[in-house]
Amino acid sequence: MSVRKIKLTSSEGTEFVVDADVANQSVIMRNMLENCEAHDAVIPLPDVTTPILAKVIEYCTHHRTGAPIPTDDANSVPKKTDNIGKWDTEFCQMDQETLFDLILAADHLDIKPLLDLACATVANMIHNKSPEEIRQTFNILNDFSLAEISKDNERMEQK
Amino acid sequence: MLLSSFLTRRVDPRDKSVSRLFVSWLRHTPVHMRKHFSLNPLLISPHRVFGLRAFNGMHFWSRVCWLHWLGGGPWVGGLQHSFEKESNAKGYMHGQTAIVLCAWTQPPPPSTCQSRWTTYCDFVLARIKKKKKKKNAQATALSTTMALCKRRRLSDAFSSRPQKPNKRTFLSSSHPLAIKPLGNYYFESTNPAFKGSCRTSGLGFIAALSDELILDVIERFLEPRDLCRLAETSRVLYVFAHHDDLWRTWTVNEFRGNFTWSGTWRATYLKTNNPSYEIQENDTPVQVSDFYSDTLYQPFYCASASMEPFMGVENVERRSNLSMAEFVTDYAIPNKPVIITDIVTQWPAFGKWNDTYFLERYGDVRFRAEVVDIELRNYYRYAHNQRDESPLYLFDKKFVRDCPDIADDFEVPEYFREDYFSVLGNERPDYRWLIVGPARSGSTFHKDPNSTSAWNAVITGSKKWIMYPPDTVPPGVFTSEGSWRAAALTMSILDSTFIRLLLGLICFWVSKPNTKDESEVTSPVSLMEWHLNFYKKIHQIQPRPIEAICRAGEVMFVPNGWWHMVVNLEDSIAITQNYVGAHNLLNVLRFLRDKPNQVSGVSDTDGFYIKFREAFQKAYPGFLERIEKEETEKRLTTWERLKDGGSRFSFGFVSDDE
Repeated sequence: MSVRKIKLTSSEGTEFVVDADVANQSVIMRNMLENCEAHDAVIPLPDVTTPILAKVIEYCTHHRTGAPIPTDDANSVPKKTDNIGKWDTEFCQMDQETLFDLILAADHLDIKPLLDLACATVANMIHNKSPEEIRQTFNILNDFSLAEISKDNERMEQK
Repeated sequence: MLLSSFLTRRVDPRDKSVSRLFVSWLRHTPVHMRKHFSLNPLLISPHRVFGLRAFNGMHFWSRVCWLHWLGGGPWVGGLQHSFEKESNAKGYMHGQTAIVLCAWTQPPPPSTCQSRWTTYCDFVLARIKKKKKKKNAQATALSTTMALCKRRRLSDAFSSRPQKPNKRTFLSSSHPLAIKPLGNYYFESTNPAFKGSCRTSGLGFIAALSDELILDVIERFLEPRDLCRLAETSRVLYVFAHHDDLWRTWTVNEFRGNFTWSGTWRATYLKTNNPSYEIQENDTPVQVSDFYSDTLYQPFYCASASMEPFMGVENVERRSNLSMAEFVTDYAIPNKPVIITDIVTQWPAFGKWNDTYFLERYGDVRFRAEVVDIELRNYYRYAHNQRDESPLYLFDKKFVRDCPDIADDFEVPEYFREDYFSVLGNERPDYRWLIVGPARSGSTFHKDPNSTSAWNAVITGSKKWIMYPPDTVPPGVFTSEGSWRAAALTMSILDSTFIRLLLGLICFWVSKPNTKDESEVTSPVSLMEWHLNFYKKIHQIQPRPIEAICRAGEVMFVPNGWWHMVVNLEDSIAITQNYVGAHNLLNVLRFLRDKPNQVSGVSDTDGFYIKFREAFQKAYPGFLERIEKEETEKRLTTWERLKDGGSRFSFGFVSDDE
């Protein structure tokens, strides 16, 4: 039985051919494909650049047969960020610009596990860091004036 | 070419509104390029102004063409293929809402361009004012950006002299942290002293994400202590860290109803977590007036907006001295809402129940407030001192059990005493609730559970109701019935707070093509947000909804299956009950049989239909068969008439040619 092949086109026009079950991890693409009966579908993705699309496809290909990650209730306490698998951790080793572009792409394509993974990675870069360390990590400018620093920037007492 | 210069200009990815693009385009396009009118074959005569029109719902390329035409390009009839080669054009129109002046005119001689454009702007603005006065002064319900575009005279935008930003164009209420909506960015940028926004430098690499995404990451993946540290990194992150909705979620999740209310959810969390934390009441927070964000400004805007503009229409019948027979004939059988004015005034509760009385008698009782159980005393501390967009309100089903003697203060009105779910005894679904809430609390559009009918008695305070008949999906509401019409209408109302909801909804909705059961309902969570964005669309859907303000001493009858939305206009106490009577029994049975996954208020939903049917037949032997037979006979008669093609058959619409 031949697996349905989908062509994805990035913003630069580069074509990627993937199997249907890889593309189906994106809810947006899954819905487009359900409504399109053609065997060779082409989905243009003008908002996703080539390197980011390659990363997304790499993730989806690796997770194509994985069991769906149980999604927590939206109102639950902050999600755990310390249970990321080995492959996922290595996958997320990338420069920040790519990481944030990946978050945008995962949000745009509606791939929740990838979005959660990328966001958890960012959260791990913030956890347990001092404000100065956070500034250095993300290249944030400290634009408080002297008067403002003495205002109420309450620190939470350590539990 | 004008179009490509506009479209290839790099647009901030956070710009989600075509109206902002439009204003930006106006500012950056040389005046002489804007003056020409194109020769449109449909032109009729000068000064024939089409008026201000929402861009909503127009095809993407049509919108592009309109802007192009306004800028002086030749009219291309709005055809996509004319612009297909403009590959840069894609992706810039994240079009949500925009205002476009459509003017039909003969092309003016170049020398009179400027004055003519000014004249048209004035003419259009004058017509808008006139229309609005006529219309009952309802809320403009435009996004903040659109409101700013309108108030500022469009002719000013075209003048080559730099204009001082008109103070009237800005919203008068200011955010506690002095942040402003995104629209202000463009108007303030005309000021030579404008210093830009602190967003990029204050977020660093994180600036690539939208404000919504940043809030999502913070809420779902960070802890409060992380947020406190983020607050110290930069002024922008200070603003994010003070976004009260985040702290509300954390407070409710962690402390449930046992929080120590301290004025804001942030202060409440910090105080509850560490009782020795001192709240600096007189200390003004850091003012971040160079940060512009609709996402972060919106809750404050919704919390500050008044319901006054939405209170002008009341079209529900009010009755007193209503006999049982009249009620059944006029309202129960036709399934029509009504307000009955002379019942609650006879209750002991009327004139007795108020916050002071409740506090005295039931201050220690724990009531259900949405997802938490909270002591009434603690709840009032919150309710009387909050500025939430959607305040928590009490909605408690066990009040008769938990509040001694409260049942003596009210009684079920005679019209609603049929209560067939009572045959199930303790296994009956939840059916009565006490509702206590401040202004702005309430519930967005929904249908009552299990297809029951309901009554809602206001003992003190007042509530605004908007109700739609069962087969009309209200604007801004999506259901899994796949209501294409509702979606198409709502597509025309896109704005920055709704577009993500829409995209998400299209996904689940398209992915369930065979589910036509309204099992999933989604709409904007905030009542004020709905009013500001969708109330204006009411007149675009037929029929118009029932609107009413139910005041203290009045009872609203909510027929089964009707969509309804309720907003408290002030601190209110009310009782509501759902019931199954003879006129909706068959509807309820059908609902339980055909939509078992939507049965609510019982622990065991499977087999509930059988259970109820059997219990009912035991309690009222023969009744069910009788009314089912009557219903079948009615349908057969209708079918016979249809088959014969004899006398005129009508589906009930008014037929004016008989």
